[in-house]
Amino acid sequence: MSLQRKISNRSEEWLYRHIHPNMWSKKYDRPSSSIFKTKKNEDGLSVHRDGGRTKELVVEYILRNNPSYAISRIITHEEISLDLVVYDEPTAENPYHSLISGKNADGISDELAEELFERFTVVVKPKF
Amino acid sequence: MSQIHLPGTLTYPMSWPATASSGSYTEIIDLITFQNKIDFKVIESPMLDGIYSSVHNEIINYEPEYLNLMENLTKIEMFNKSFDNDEEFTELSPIIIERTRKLLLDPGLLVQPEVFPTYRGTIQFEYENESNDYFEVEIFEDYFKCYHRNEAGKTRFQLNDQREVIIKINEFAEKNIKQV
Repeated sequence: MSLQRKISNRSEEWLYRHIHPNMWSKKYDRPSSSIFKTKKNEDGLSVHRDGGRTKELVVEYILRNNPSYAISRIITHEEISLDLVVYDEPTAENPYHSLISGKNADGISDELAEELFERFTVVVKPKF
Repeated sequence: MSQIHLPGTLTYPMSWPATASSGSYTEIIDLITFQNKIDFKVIESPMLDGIYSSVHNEIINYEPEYLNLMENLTKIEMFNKSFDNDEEFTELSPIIIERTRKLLLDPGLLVQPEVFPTYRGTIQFEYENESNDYFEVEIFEDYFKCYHRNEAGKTRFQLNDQREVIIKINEFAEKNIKQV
C-alpha cells in the first residue's frame, strides 16, 4: 500500500461499483458475487465515491464510457462496520476514484467480498 | 438418434439432423451466438446455409441443458474479448478456460451452472434456488474453491479433483434444483 494514500474520513458517502453485463445473472436478475473478487495482491476494490454528487450524476459519469454496465452502491458507514477502509485514490481520468480495502490494507478477502455482495444494492441494471 | 462430437472426449447424444452432424461443432458454434436460451442470431455463411435451416428447426427442441451447455461454452470463449476495455480485468489463461470447458462437458454434471468471470483471472459457477440456497465453484489453475450458503450457515472449502467438484455440485443440485 502506498503511504501517500489518504484514508477517507467522510462518515457517510455513497460508493458506486460498476458491473460488467457478463457479470450479471439474467436468470436471477442480480449481479454475480464475482464483481467483488480482487486479485491476491491487489490493494483493494475500485469504486467511485459520490463526492457530493447526486446519484443521477454519478450514474451518468460511470455510464458515459460503459453504457451497458450495471451499477450498485453502498454507504460508507456500512464499510466501516465490516472492518473495511475506503482510500481516496483519484486518477487523472477519475477524481472520484477510491479503493475499498481491509483495515490492514490487505485487499478484499473472499469473506469480505461475500459481505459486500450482500450489502451493495443495485441502482442500475445492465443493458443487454 | 444421431450424435454430435463436442470438443474433448464427450459424445453427446441428441436429435441433431443428419446434415448438421456432418459439420463440425466449432463451425456451428461460430455460426450461432446465443443470447438467451433459444434466441440466437446467425452470421451469414453460404457454406453452412444449408445446414442452418435444419439446425434452426431442431435447436428449439433440444434438451434445455444442452442449450445451456452450448451457451456456457460460447461464453467462456468470449470472456477475454468482452472485457478487453476493462482495465481491472485479468485475462483468463488458456488453462483456466480449458479446465472450465472440461468441467462443463463432464458427462457427470447434472445441471449446467451460470458462468461468470472474476476480476482475478478465474471463472466461477453459480447455482441458486428459489430459497436463496447458493453454491459456487471458483476455478483456479490448480484447484477449485467452493462456497455453500443456506439457512444453516456458510461453508467454504477447497477441492483439487474435478470428480469431487462434480459430486458436490450434483449434491446441491439434487437437493435444490427442480429439473434434476
